[in-house]
Amino acid sequence: MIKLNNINKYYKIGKNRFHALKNVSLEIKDGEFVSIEGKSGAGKSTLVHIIGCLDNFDSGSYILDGVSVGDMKESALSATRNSKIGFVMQDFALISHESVIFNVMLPLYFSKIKYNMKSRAYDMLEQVGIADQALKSVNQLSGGQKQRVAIARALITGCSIIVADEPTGALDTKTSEEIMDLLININQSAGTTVIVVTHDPTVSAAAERKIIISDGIIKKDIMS
Amino acid sequence: MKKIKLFFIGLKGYMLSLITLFFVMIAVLLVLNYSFSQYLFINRSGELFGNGHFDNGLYFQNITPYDQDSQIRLDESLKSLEGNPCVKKVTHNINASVHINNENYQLELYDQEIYPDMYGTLPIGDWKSMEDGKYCVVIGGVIPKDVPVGETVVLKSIIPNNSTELEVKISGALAYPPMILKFGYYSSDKKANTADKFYIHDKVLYLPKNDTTLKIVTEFCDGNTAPITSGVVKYIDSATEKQKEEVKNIISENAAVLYTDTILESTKSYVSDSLRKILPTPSFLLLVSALSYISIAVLSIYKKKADYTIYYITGCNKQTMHILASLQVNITLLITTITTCVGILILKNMAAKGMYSLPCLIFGWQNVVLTCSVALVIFLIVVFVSSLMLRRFSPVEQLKLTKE
Repeated sequence: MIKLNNINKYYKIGKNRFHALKNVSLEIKDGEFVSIEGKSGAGKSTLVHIIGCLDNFDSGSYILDGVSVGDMKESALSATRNSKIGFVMQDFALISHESVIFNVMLPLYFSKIKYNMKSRAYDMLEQVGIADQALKSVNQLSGGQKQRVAIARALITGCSIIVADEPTGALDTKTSEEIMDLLININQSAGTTVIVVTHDPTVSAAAERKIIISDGIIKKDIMS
Repeated sequence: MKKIKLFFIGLKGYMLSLITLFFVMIAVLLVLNYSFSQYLFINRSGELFGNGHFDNGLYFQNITPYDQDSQIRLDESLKSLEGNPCVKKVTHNINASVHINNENYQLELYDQEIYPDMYGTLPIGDWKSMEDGKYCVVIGGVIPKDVPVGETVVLKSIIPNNSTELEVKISGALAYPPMILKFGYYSSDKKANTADKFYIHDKVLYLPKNDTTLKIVTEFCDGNTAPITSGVVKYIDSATEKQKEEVKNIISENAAVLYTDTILESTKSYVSDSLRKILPTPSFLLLVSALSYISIAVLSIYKKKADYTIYYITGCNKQTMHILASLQVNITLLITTITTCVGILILKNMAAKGMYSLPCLIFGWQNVVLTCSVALVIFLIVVFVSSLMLRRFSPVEQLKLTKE
């Protein structure tokens, strides 16, 4: 369960302060598929970065599975990112000069749990349908394949939340549909909470709940 | 274990620059150590000369030793000093070439009032005159194979048809490096006459000097020891300046002379100046290579920002990132330091075993300390610079930049 209460976030731009998020309050239950929409600069990425424990906030509270994120030290935050949250980015966020299998295994290097890393990575690649590409270098893959690698990496530590920031932004229509189908399948089969930032109406149509944000304020929160 | 694996995977990106840096740093550290070893030799020779009670004396050097007449006149001058009330003794090298188990050594007579004080306590054995009815020798240089300290050995002349033999007991050995006192240098520039000119690396057997051992050494030389071309005339403590001057005048007719106190003062200045003179070049090279090193560290972190962002989003904390970043660059420094230190110690051991000679150099633990200290300073600078860079590094900013 994700609970944000009166979250405010400011950015320094030169001597000025930009108020990116204004008293944002939000609850996302386990297993929800949520899209976050809005124009550029509305605060979408800022919001998901805070949800994903990538960035801090200036005031308010954020409770994640009953634990206050604002009180966490850096090591606890990184452990949370590792174990609970998986990220899927528009630009795939993969180490392009390394192999597919290395990229998928990467979170396991920082995990305190002992895994059979390669075996688990192959399982994830099977799940996303590209186990046969395991030994290839990432830069040899298509956009769709790269995004599947990113999804496999996101799942490998058994995360309960996937944060996807415009996951189809760099993909063609057909591939976008395949990726969205994969995310929906993960959401429905494993009960993983999926939070997607998007401009794409096709993507937002797949979500059961839409949050529309503008100028750092949640304007609408609609259940489909 | 996992992070160690990740660390080595991360090195792949800049192996070529690290390998290049490795060889550059090795070369620079060797140059630094070479210069420092020269300083150690100069410093040690100053210590030995000072310990040898050579103060209050007059150093002489026949500057035309191949002129027989000149040598004869010098011999007569030295002979005339016998019975001179202000002269305590004349010290000079008396030796013969001998061999032990096909290894050549100089059998040298030593003054028991000078040498034990000059070299100090031996690391193995002791300065002894006789034991079990045999003369005792102290080895300077390589200990002969199969003849450890405490054993007896028979010395033979290297001169063909010379059947002279002497059974001796090896009572001790000098420490490495075997800095053997050898008079024979003189410069008209007084400041150039420093103690390091009087010590060489050699293989020697020190035998206590007395009338009997003098005869033995003479026999080893077929009845003719080398002429006295250089040495030190030691004054008595109560010798007046006038008396010293008189002796100086006698000797200076047939040899170049210099008060040993002048040598000692020149040596002191030389020791304190030597670091200033020897170290600038290697220090400059070290500065340049350290700057290159730091630049590579900075560049590698800069180039890896995207990778570190991905590490961050997958659960790597900043502390781990910092350790990985610093170590990935400093691994070269670590390997270079270890290689240099091991190389120095191997050089030292090889020299101590006589596998080769390192004239006018001393390699020892001081070189290891210097190398490690230099490496530590560079390491700390790299860690500091990496820390500054990573502190300013914002994965979120990097994500935004990539998205744009």
